Amino acid sequence: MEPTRNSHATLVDLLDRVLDKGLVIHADLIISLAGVPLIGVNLRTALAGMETMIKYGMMQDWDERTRAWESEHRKIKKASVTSGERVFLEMLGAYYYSGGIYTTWRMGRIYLTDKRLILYHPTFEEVLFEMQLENIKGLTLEREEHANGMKRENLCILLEAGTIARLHALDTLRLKEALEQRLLSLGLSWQEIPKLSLIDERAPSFLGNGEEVVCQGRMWHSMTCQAPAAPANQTWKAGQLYLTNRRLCWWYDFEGKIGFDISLEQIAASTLEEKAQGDTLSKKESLDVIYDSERGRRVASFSGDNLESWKITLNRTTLRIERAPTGDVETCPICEKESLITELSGELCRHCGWIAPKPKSQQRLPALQETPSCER
Amino acid sequence: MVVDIDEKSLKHGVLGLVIAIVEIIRDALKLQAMKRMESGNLTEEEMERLGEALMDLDTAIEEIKEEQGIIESVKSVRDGLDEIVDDVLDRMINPERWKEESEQWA
Amino acid sequence: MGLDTKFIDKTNAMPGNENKVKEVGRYLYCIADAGESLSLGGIGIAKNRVYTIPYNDICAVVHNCPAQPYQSENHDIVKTWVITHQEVVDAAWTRWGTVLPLSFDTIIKGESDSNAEQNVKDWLKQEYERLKKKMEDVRGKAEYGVQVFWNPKIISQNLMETNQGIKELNDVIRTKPKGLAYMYRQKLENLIKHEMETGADVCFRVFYNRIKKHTTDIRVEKTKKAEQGLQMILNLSCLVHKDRYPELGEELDSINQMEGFSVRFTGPWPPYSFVGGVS
Repeated sequence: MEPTRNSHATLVDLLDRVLDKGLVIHADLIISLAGVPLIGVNLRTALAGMETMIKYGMMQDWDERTRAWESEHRKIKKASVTSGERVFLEMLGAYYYSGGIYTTWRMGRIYLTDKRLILYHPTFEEVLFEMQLENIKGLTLEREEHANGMKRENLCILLEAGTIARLHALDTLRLKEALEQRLLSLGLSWQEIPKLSLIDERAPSFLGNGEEVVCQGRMWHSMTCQAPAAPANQTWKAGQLYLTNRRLCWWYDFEGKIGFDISLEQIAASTLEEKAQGDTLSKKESLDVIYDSERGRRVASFSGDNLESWKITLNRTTLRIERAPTGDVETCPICEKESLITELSGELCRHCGWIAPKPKSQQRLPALQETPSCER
Repeated sequence: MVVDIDEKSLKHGVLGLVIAIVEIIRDALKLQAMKRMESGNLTEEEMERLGEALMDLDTAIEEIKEEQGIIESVKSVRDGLDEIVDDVLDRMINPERWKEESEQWA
Repeated sequence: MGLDTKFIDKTNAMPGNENKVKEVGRYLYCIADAGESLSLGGIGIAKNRVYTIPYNDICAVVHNCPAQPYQSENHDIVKTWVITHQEVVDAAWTRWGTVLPLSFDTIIKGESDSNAEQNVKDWLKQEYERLKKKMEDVRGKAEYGVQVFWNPKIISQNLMETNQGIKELNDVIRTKPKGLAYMYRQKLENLIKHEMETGADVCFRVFYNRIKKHTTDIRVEKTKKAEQGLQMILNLSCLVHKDRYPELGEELDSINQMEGFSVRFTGPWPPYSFVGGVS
């Protein structure tokens, strides 16, 4: 085995020796405070870029690593920018994180480089959020009202994948302008997206073609825990309930996907019940959806706000669906939205008001007598 | 433009601290539980219940950390605590170093 | 100490202290085994000219500086200083073969240039015997760093397969219901941890003795935090004859090839760890 000494990997070994060892002189005429470390442990760790070494692994070329190390330390523990990337804008900012029990704004430093937009947390050296500029499909400023009545501006960015990122910065307007300038100089195009406040980050991932969200809300769903030996345990899990024009589904936050999914036709009824909460004596109101499945009639329980209005909406939907057998749905030629065929041809399009012309076979003869517009 | 102090972000940092403490208490609980088990004073049924409870606690803590996105924060708090403890021990072992350092700053 | 007491004492030299007399200093890199008066050029910290101050058949390798230690908040700058310090010691080592390296930021001060120069000479004179002895200790040798790591996952896996007690406990766990299994698993973890600790001690002693055979002097260093799930179980500084290091290398090879173990072999370094303190 050959010994090594001239790579970044051995910088720590060097520092250990040069800073701590060597001939030590105790004398009045020595002004380096003998024996006392002039350079503390933390500084030494920073000098060696210990964390960097750990993250990137020990075995790398001196050149490559010096460059990355230097660009990191020149900004004193700022985001790691790969060599060749220029930073155009840097400011304090936050990213809206919605997942888990509550949603929150995660604070950090926003960096706009020539390739991407990053939110970096210097203390934990964590990249909280990152996107490639070429994935940006839309931008818009949104006004958000705070609980204390203050309004503030957020920058909403629509990404390639259909997801939306919400950012807030010390100067949100300046960030948007700088971002637009960057996109222009890169030759990328984007759109101004209208009315984003109702759009949800999760929706695009599970909605089908032509499917729309009718209403949604934060809901806890009662799931049965799979415990083979023990009796079935009821626990409430956090998530988001969606009623679309096709189904009722519930997004499970913890797993980041749909945890409950039934088509509207399966719903038999919805009621409000009072349930005992686990072992505690307190009772909680819940929305029970009774539905048909392969295994027979089942009940799904949900809890949250506005249960009453959910119940009413669900029951209205159920009644409407029960009126028409499945398959009798047609697309309105004007607004391209679906409705029951009986509605479209019998009355009007629920969405845009278009009235279907009556087919000839339904008209009484002679045709001339039926044209009201000719009447004077 | 003013940066508003987000109550929610503050909560986030505090939550990391709280969960770190919860983990430390959980570890102490485990230690005590093991001692009782070793002492032979528990019946099989008691051990079963104890084990299940501890297991549920583990799961709950992991879920909270994952849902809140604080896995790294909690680890960082605990690593920081370890460093501080290590440092204090160092000074206890080598009081000379402590003395000299305090003189340096005097 | 026999030195002129009109030297200004330590506290006055603290940075930030104003002094009527402009003080100068000599930054010490190392003591070399030659009585030469020579300039090594502008290779010093902050591009200062490095030269030697001889006394008898030894000399101090220095550069002229203000009577203040080099300190900075800027990590990049400090890193450069420290690396430069080592480069100068290296240059002296290459030129003269035997050097006693000094720690970073060791500065001898004086009231004037000639005074500072004289102070260095006086100190060399005073410490001459001790310095010469240390030269002999390190002549023709270099310092090497040896660190042995193990991968706890692999080692504990081995334990589970070879250790009777652990294997049995593992089998018991399979038969128990959930909660009991958890408790026994904890017991297993504790047992494994204990076995690992004794194992580390044994490995330390065995490896230490094997390595020691190839060195003329050896120092045990503190183990440090390791990366990527590895654990450092041995950290040594070894003083080895410059041409005998291959034997040490071979010994380390055989350790490195053991399953779950890895070795870091650094050097050759000037003998920082083997020159000790001088009063």
